[in-house]
Amino acid sequence: MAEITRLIHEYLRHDKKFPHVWCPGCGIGIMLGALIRAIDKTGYSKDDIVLVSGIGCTGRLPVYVDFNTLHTTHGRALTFATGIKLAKPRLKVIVIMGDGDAVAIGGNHFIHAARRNIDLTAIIVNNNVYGMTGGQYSPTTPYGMKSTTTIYSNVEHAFNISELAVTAGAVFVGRGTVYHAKLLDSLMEKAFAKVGFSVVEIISHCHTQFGRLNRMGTAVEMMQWQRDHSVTVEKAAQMKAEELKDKFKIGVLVDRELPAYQDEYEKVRKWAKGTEKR
Amino acid sequence: MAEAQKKKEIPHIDIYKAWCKACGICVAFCPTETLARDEGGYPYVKYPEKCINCGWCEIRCPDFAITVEGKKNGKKVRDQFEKEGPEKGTAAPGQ
Ligand SMILES: Cc1ncc(C[n+]2csc(CCOP(=O)(O)OP(=O)(O)O)c2C)c(N)n1
Ligand code: SF4
Ligand code: SF4
Ligand code: SF4
Ligand SMILES: [Mg+2]
Repeated sequence: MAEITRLIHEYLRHDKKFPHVWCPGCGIGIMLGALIRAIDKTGYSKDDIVLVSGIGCTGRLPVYVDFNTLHTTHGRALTFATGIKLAKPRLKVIVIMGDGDAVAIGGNHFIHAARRNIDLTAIIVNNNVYGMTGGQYSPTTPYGMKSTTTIYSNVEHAFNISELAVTAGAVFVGRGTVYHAKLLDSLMEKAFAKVGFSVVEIISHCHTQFGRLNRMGTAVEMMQWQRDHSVTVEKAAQMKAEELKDKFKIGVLVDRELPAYQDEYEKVRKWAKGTEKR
Repeated sequence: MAEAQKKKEIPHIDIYKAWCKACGICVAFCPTETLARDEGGYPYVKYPEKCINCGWCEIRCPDFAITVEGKKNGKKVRDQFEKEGPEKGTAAPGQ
């Protein structure tokens, strides 16, 4: 067995049923590989990592890996993660969410976690749909596309998750695709190294639901779509607006410094105890 | 002798059928057409000597079902290949 896969096996829970539950070719499995490789690079021990997820195909991920894992309720992963981080600030807390989890039911938690700048990394698999429950539209389903609840055409406009994160105050925001799997490793490594709220949006495919309804083809064809519609931030800077019309940017979108919430809150504790003066 | 040495340098590709779901990703994005699909859609190594050990099949497999063991000069061949193409997007995508 080659090095990369040997490493992945070190982190898998071998008492779980494999092959995993995801459909053949689902991008979540590719993202899982990148996540494990990036966590391994951090040097944290398994016991110092906490993976928190909500519910959905993406939310199923922590079940398969040997860290501290919390499989919570749909949309609320960030709230549980906030509690863990405040109670045990030394732990590295990583939140795994689907697009529905993060910006539909959990949208409010998402913008406020970013605004607060609490030290968490949110990893969002954006497959433009509610995969697990049967392909209902989500806030990231593009205008004009079909879902099982927009059978004629979606007449709403989609959230851009990364831009939302930037506006809400996240200190690190990166976007990649599962086609560009190695880029995911590097974005996650950077996000984990950051103190404050970091976001990695992963453009993935749900060929079973979204792809089928919109005649986008197989997992392979949807990954070709990712390849053909993405442009690196650096390249985009050299391109005209009209050339970028049907493209999305990948790479580091924001990397900035702001005081992190758990450190600020420590100050409040000291003021309240009277050990330090405001 | 020369034959034996050549053989030794070919990367070793393993496909773990028990986990493979025949999604076709490894085959579709292999930059050298080393891999092909059988009647069931499962991958097999068609031209082992073509493999440049780029590692992309292993990295993109959603089920951790394919592995490539490097050859001695694998890195050199790979770097050369990534510089030259043939399909830039596949060999060294977007980074
Ligand atoms: C409170 C609550 N509302 C609704 C559901 C039903 N539900 C489960 S997963 C899901 C959406 C999943 O979509 P997403 O978060 O994008 O994850 P994906 O399956 O696409 O990875 C919904 C609506 C639930 N489990 N709990
Ligand atoms: S339903 Fe969609 S998101 Fe869920 S495992 Fe299948 S392809 Fe992946
Ligand atoms: S990418 Fe993995 S699961 Fe898909 S066909 Fe290749 S070995 Fe099988
Ligand atoms: S390592 Fe690269 S060249 Fe070799 S089989 Fe895999 S994808 Fe093809
Ligand atoms: Mg989804």
